[in-house]
Amino acid sequence: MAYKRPADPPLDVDLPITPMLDLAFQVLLFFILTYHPSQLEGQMEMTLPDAAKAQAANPKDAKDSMPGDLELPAEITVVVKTQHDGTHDGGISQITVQEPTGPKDVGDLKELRKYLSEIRKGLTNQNDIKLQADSSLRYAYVMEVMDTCTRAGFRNVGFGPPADAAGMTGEPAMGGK
Amino acid sequence: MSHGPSSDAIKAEPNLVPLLDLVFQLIMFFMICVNFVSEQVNEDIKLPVAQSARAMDKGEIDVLFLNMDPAGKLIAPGQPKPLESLGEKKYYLKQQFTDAKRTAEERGDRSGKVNTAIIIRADRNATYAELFELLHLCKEAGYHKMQLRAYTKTGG
Repeated sequence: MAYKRPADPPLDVDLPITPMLDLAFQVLLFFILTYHPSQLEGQMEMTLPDAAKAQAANPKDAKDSMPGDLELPAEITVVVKTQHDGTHDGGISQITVQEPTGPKDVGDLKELRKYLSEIRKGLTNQNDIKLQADSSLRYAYVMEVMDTCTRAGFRNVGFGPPADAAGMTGEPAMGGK
Repeated sequence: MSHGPSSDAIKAEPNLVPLLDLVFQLIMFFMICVNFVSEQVNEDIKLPVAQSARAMDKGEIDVLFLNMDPAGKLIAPGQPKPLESLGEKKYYLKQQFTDAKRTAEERGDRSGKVNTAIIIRADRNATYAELFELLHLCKEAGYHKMQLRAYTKTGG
């Protein structure tokens, strides 16, 4: 007669949860302390001369360029003057749109956008626009003007040399998309 | 008043497993959201705001980050201190362009066309002249692809 071994009692595995939880809390604390949601960054894409030429509606019309002389065939230029009053230095004081028919002053960026949207319909080149600002205009405002032009429908925003800076010649000639 | 001796001591055993589950979920959330600061991105630079700025294109492989501080100094990767003078900036950009061209040639592109995109992260208090100068230098060095970085919404 075979001897039958009695069944073992069920093994009670007791995982030590507490140390694991301690560790998990440490890791959690680390992440909470180091977490700071960064602001959402976006990009304004630009293309320098050669690529801009390739994007031209009629590439044959685009002149051959040397670095420094190619400019976007923009029909209108937005000229931005800055303040020098000591308190608002670097801000926008005057915005002028130079078009083939002559210069036109606009009050603010809202008005600029409205005006650009209106005149854009009558332009042959509806993609390119040039921005020319005073050298001390702050970049925040440059970007605001650029943003306004883009929202008015212009795809390529070129930058002209600072209007008040002697000796700065040539066009970076890029287009924002 | 006495309650009398208790024969069965109550053994409180809180169930920690669901708590651990929850903590792990939170850790997972923070791990996914954590944004390790890239060496190339300077967090001190306060970008301008542009509503028309598009979402970042992560597909761009060859990129060169150029951070410009409010004083117009160029904070470039691999440089121990900010580049201040025009000559320093010019030399750095030319050197980077030459390196990129060599790399392109080594990859088998005989024309050595450099497809590096310059990503400009300029501070909102920098001036138009400083930005223009930088763009001009990039163009002189031979770069043709550029991006200007901006915040897509206010509040920073």
